[in-house]
Amino acid sequence: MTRLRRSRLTLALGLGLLAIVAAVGVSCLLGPQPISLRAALDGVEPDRAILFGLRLPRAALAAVVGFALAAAGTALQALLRNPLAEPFVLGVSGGAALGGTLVMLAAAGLSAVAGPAGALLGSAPPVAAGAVAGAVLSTFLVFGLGRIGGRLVPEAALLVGIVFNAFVAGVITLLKMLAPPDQAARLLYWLMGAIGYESPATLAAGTVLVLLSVGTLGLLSARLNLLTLGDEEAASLGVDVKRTRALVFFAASAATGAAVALAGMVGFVGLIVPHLVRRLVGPDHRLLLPASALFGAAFLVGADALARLAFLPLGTEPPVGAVTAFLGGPFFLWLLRRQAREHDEATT
Amino acid sequence: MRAARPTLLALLLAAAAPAGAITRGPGPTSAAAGPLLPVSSRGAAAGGATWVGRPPAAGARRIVTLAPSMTDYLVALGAADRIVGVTRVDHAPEVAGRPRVGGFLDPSPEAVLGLKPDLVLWVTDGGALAAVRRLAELSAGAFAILAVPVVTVADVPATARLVGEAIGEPAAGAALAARLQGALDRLGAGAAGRPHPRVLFVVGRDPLVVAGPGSFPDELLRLAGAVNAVGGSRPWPVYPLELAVAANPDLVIDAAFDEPAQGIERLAAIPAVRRGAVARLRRDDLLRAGPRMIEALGDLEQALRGAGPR
Amino acid sequence: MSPHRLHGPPWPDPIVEVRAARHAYGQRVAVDGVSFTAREGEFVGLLGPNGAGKSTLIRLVAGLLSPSAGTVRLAGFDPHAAPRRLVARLCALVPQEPRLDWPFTVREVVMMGRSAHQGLLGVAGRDDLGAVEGALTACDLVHLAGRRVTALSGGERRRVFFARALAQEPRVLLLDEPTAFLDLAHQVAAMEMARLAARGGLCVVAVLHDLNLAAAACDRLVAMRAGRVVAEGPPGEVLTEERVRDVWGVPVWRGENGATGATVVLPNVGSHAR
Repeated sequence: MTRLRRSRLTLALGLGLLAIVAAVGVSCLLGPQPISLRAALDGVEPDRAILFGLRLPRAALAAVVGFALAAAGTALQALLRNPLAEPFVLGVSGGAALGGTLVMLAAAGLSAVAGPAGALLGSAPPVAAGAVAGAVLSTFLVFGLGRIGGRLVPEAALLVGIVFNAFVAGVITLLKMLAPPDQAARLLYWLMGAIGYESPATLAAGTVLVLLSVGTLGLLSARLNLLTLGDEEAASLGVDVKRTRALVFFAASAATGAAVALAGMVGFVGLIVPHLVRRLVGPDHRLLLPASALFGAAFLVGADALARLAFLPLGTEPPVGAVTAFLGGPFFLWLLRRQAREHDEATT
Repeated sequence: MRAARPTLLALLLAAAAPAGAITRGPGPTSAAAGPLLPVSSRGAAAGGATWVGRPPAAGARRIVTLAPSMTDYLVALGAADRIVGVTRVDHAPEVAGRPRVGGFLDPSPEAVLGLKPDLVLWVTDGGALAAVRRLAELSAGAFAILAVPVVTVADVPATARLVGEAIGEPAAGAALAARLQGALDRLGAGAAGRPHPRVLFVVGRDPLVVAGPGSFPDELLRLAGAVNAVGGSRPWPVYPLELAVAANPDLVIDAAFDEPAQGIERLAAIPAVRRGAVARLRRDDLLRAGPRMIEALGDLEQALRGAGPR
Repeated sequence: MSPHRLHGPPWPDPIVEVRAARHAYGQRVAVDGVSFTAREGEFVGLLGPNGAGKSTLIRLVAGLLSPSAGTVRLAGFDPHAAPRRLVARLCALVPQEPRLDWPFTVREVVMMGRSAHQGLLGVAGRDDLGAVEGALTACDLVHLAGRRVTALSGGERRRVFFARALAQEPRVLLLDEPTAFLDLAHQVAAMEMARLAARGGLCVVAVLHDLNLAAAACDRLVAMRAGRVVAEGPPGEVLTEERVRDVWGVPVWRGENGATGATVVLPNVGSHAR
């Protein structure tokens, strides 16, 4: 890494942190209840409780989820050598949701037989573990089935991911039929991707898991550069491709699983953010990955604020997953068209 | 909703520590130690209600209700003027124009805090558990929260007594509880003089959603001496029309009050519907586990009186 | 070729040694009992019709494939079993059509060749910067160093990947059809660069289709057909009229380049001569 690159890294990370601060600031100052920052800092209630007890923890949750999803998206794009890859599109989020749902249903079933054991199984850590396991399994499934003649074909993997998503949606619908109706409605809201109110312990545990997995991806970021060249080239440049890829799979899946356990299926963050950040800092993953993670955090904090504020007149708020899907769906199609056009230009 | 088991989502959103010890005793328990608002499967009548903090000794003056039925209790107790905030699904005329604090499933903690209440009344429902827990964490002595699980019909009078005590009107609460219990007793007493039809209680027609075992209508039907035609284990099943036809009820109670009356023709495959053995409810009061449910028992009695076993 | 050390560790001679190697993709046998050696300072051309097993052979040498029978040794190591970092320091492979999905700059791509010499995060030291500048200079890429590889022409891209292989500072350089899809001037330039690398002390092995370019530039030719080596030796001995007809099934006229004395073969198109 040259000095030039190091200063670009500093600049990108500084901008990312600045974006987070700005998004958190907006998110904390705006809401259904007008509050005064001065009053909150002076400890006047309810301003203090609203700022420090509600808005700040919620912004922190959104930041952690966005951080994880953008980093996972960046890593999956490198592995698939395709900017359309993303945890939600590839079905990794769906697998995590299915894993978490299964653990929760098992907990509900168990609590009918043995209450305390069921409650223990239904608490946050086992559900998060189920989500991570579901994410890891679906990643290996999608990338395994995306191989044709031993070679990874990005389009095939994307197609497998889309089909897997539909399959997971169906399975979750079936599982919802088994859950009582009020729980089913809440399950639906969770799966849409809702930033809610987590206990500090859950948020802390999720943050640790996210930092560990994104940290692993950061350490592998130079290897990710080589993996974008293809397996054979990466191997001839000195990368142990199988091991590195397995590590990246695992870390990206763990980050996605943690994000899904915290906030449900929030889609397209890992698609929009890395693409825009790549335009800013270039394709070098040593810059791209940390910068994407930071901008992803800022992005989701902003999207959550938008979700809360846009529907304020109606006295309700949509889950943030609906907002990211609203932005991300058209973005995905635009990227797809652009890719097709570039392909045409390259072949003529 | 009757299922007061911890919901899946609530469990996911709950603290890393599992929902803790359930305290015993007839009165509301105070959650001083351990997780706030422990999830209890016992109803209000069985001592399942929980306090966070203490209500003002002089009686609460600024009350937020997080469920329409709680508003109904306050109205019945003559305390509607103390309500400063309700959910957006609360259509009681007495609180028209009062500030809204989000929905029944998704209350907004920040809107509640902004109203500076001294008492928050909540009917426990897993959907809102995370938000109410957060409120409980932030209450810090500024206000009290009464969480009441309403699981069975017997919890309805019990809740009246709890709400009366909470707002500093224990005598009025006891009187309301006695009145509600009296109406329930009369329903049971009158059962002997009425037919005992098999009833299909419809709450939605497309898809067909009916009251099953474990729902309030199921319990009310039993109290009134009727038989629920729906078996199984789910309180509100999406019911296959074939099963409804095979169950061959003597009477269909059509509680899909927000769907047009003639829509019942969709269910013409059920013999009772073809015969015209349909009683239509014009209000959702029977489904609202509070004073209104008790006041609407007359509707149920009237519906049952017209039907006899063939 | 200044960046390349003339005096490396005492590798075994020959540095590439393949003995009776066999490799099959499923049922299809690509390399069937091939023995092959190459030494440092030597430019070896691998010839043969499509499907003869040339690319498979260099992938065996690079350790990307493992032989189902026989042995492959690269500087004394089994390249498939040895750590990839070690193999990457010994041997560089320039693929026929390198992937270029992401808009890295030329300098970034060439720096990737240094990965096996760097730590996990790829922090460039003085050696790395020197090797990259040397490789850029050798391949006439200095003026393009800041450009995005996705915006380059085919010939320029080929030079970038050649430069990356040089920056890798290997002892063995494997080229898979380095002249494919290039115009004549770029073909000649590519062969000159490979030749220079060999003169600088590298062992260069190239899969080639143009027999005349191979004959002009290579020190030694190895002809393969159907997974076996059918001839090897100096260009003039390997490229006889009979052998070209045997191996490629094409009748040719064989002669000499009047200027250089290199062997020349020309297909007898349209003559029906036997």
